[in-house]
Amino acid sequence: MNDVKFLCETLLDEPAPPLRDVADVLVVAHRAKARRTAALSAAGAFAGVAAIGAALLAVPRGPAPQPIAGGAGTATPPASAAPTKIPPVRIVPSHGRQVFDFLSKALPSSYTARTQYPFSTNSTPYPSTPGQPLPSGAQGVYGLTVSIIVSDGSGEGQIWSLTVDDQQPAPTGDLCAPAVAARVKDLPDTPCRQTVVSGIPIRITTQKDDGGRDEVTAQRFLDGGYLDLIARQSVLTSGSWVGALPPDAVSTKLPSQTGARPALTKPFFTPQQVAALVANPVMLP
Amino acid sequence: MASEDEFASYYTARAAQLRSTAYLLCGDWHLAEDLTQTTFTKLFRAWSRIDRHEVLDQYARRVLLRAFLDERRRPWRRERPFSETPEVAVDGTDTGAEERQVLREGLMKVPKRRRAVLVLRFWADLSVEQVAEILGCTAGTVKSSTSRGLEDLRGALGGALDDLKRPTGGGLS
Repeated sequence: MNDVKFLCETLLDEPAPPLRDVADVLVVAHRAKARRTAALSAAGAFAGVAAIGAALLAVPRGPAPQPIAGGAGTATPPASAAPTKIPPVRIVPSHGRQVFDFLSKALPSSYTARTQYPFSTNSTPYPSTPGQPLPSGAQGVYGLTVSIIVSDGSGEGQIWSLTVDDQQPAPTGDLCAPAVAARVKDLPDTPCRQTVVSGIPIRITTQKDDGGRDEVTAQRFLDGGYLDLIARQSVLTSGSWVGALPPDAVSTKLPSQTGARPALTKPFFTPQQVAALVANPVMLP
Repeated sequence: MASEDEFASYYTARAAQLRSTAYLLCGDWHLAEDLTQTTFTKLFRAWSRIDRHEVLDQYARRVLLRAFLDERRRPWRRERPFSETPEVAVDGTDTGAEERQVLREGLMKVPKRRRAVLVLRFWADLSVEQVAEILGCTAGTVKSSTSRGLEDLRGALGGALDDLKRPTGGGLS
């Protein structure tokens, strides 16, 4: 039995990540409490309407009960816990190599990484000035910083770092609110949660790929856009997507665009790790 | 105990210990951080109703354990925890990393409820009755889970722990 204690002490005898600051803990706790209060209030209101409705069957139906508030109005963190300044959205193609190096080193040792496309040498940022209007008729500008093929020797997965400039402010309330899901174009019923990494709110969603494997997306919201980091157990092989890439991104020298190898059998990052990575300052140019 | 300051003080005093317990349960610092946050979020919600200081730690452990057991039931959580985390600095002088990896993998092979019993009894030094109360089972179940958990751990580790243990350490018995 002493050995179990020794084992536990040995496991804990390593450098642990810094403990979350109490202010961050309180922000999340306040949000959760506000969400719960809103949900209970809405449930109570709905029950009341249903009871009245049963008694007044002959009366024309009145206004329907309002849906549960989306979060922005009910889950706003206290002003004292406001996050630090949110950086503006910027897309710098040549930043891809630095991002590749960072993400590759974060992989568990049993995986190898290679870039799917040649690194760009273009260092011109987009937008050139913060707040620059989007091109006429565009809802957003997408910039693929890096696409990494992750291999364990028998299968392949993929990491994407994608920056979206949509000239919208960073959400201040619940990152899983319907308005946010609509903005980032989530599929219906996509599981969502949020976490805080080093004081930065991160949105985490998990979708399924064609084989039913998890595809984890962690989003860091910026001023005027957001940064996506996507970890997939398989390589996206959609011809339409490949065809939509800019000419300098489609290379015949790299074999994996066809996704000939099978998918990985397990995730290489946990959702928490994807969140921690997207929050790292290295991910921003 | 209604004030937010008291809650903050409790977090400062106890969060690290709870997170260590969570880490031993799940083997992943990030998940441990999330479980700790979940625990304190629930604690915060109940804070105004808690008026007995002496039961606070036990209550917090119970919330943590339930969060852990519940967390692992979610399908999208069914991944294997990794030992490497991007935020942890790599210490070139740390020669025990490989041994810890072996021990961690061994502990993670113990079924989660039995693992929880082992961690609570032998690391957190709780009594059989306290563990039973946390897990919502009988003292007899805790005793049998302890016995089976030790067997599982012995089977998972083989001689790995004997190779590492201190000269004064006892056997897995």
